[in-house]
Amino acid sequence: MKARYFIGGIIIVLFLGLLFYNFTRTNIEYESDFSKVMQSGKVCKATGVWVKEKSFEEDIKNRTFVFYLRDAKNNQMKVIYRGTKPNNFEIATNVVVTGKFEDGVFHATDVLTKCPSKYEGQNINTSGS
Amino acid sequence: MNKIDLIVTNLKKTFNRRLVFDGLNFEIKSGEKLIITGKNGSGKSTLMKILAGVLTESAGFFQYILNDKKVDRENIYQIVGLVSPYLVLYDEFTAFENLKLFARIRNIKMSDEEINQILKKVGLFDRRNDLVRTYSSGMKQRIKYASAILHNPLVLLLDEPTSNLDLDGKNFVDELVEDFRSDGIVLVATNESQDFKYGQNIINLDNFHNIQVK
Amino acid sequence: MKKIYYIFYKDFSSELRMRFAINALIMFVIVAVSTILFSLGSENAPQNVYAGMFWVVVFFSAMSGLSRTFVSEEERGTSLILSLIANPISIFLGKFLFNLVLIFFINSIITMLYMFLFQEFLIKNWMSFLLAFLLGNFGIAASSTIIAAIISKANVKGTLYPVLAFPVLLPLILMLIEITKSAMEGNPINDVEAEFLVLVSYDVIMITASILVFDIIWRD
Ligand SMILES: Nc1ncnc2c1ncn2[C@@H]1O[C@H](COP(=O)(O)OP(=O)(O)OP(=O)(O)O)[C@@H](O)[C@H]1O
Ligand SMILES: [Mg+2]
Repeated sequence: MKARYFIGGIIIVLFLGLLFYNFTRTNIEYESDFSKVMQSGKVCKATGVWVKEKSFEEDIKNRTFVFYLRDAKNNQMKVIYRGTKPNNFEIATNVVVTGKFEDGVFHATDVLTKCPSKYEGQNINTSGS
Repeated sequence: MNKIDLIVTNLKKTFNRRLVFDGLNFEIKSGEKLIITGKNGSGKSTLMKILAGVLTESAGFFQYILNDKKVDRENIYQIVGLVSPYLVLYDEFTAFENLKLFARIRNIKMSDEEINQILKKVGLFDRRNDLVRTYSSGMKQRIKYASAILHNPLVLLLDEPTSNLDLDGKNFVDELVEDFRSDGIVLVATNESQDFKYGQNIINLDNFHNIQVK
Repeated sequence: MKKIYYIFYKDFSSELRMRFAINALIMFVIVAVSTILFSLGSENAPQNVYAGMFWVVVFFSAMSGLSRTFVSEEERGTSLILSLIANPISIFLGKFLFNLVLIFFINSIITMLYMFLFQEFLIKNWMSFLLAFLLGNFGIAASSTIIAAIISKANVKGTLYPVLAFPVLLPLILMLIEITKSAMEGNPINDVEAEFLVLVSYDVIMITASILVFDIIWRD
């Protein structure tokens, strides 16, 4: 009886450790330095700014969206996203892409745009049109 | 021939804050039969459940000793048989299916013939293939007896043993208690004076009710 | 071992006659999946949304069906006879086995419905998905069984289940969604190695802890 609780307790503690250790590993990290993103080749959330000069390509039929991002040190990388262009992409101040760098391109599974506040956003929109 | 003893020491049970009994002490040895009596709500059924190992006591302890070895709490089910009003069998199965299932879950080898033998004993053989749901209350009481003696227990716990039974059923209980294995023990919880014949000694739970008021 | 099997067998034959759990489960799955289907219309949601919606449906159907095992015993008053014929560990494992079979059955139905109804629900790495399916079902069955045991003894039954189940199952569901997403993108299994290790640890902890505490819960 007592032995059962003892062994059970040890098993629980051991696997609780394993669980927490791996749980911290599952959280995908944010990375704002593209040179690291390109080197590691691991899945991460890369944050940067859209390179307006290089514009973007959108292929609606194949549902791919291609654009360039640059980081604070002006490193640039090509991003391929399997999906359609997110709303507000043009006015975003910041873009977060989740995915990994492979064969010279960043394959994104998710694109998040960080917009200026609503009020400002509208301003830009109206002045743009 | 086995030797079974039951020792109860300072047993106490409370439900939340309500005290049911306290300071209960007694001992039964192989071959002895004991009557438990007391007013409605004095804790007879509660005591039976505790001794059957399905309810935990609040303080004190009890111990079955089989051939000088303590019986683990987990294994009490192997040596006791309980009959009581609040026992409910699986009514979506027939009497035969219930017993067959119990034998299998208990992991005891029993042929269909042996199960039919027990059904004959409790007088349900003719109705063995009817769902328990369709049984009368007396028939339900009889199938409880069948499930209680299926595994040839050493300890028989009978709570209100003759409730809902006809004359024939009462005779069956008389015989069962009378002829119960000579190395076993029987506890009968009852308020019927005609049931008092089942045991030599009587414990009245009313005496253990107010003990704590000091 | 035999005892565990026959407790499972009892529940199984009982389920065949009474349909305590299976009807509620199938109804729930049909309602949930068709609601998703109709609300999406002809629009295509991003792939990873499907991974989330898949496990959400599994989670809620587990909540509506798997709690029946103990609650129905308690409601009908048959838990007494059950504890008179078997020791607590066999009872727990028998019920766990029953829930395991039930969740595998219902989860296979959900998977087939998703593949049939949503073109976007396309698994590219089946190894990864099937392993998650296996470990996930095991974890869901283990935690649902012990939670069901707890609520069957409580007085508030129905409402308590989601309240207890949510925090217990949340880490499991999160991992399962991550792995499913990755399987849909066709990533190799190594990418979600950490998630799998969390799943395995979760399953081991759940089943060990349940076996340790079950007899205390069971005997009040
Ligand atoms: N599950 C429970 N929760 C709370 N109180 C309970 C519970 N079961 C029994 N009691 C209380 O414990 C006391 C003893 O009940 P018990 O059924 O053992 O009495 P009894 O002696 O068998 O009565 P009767 O002669 O009516 O059969 C009663 O006051 C009852 O209200
Ligand atoms: Mg009573």
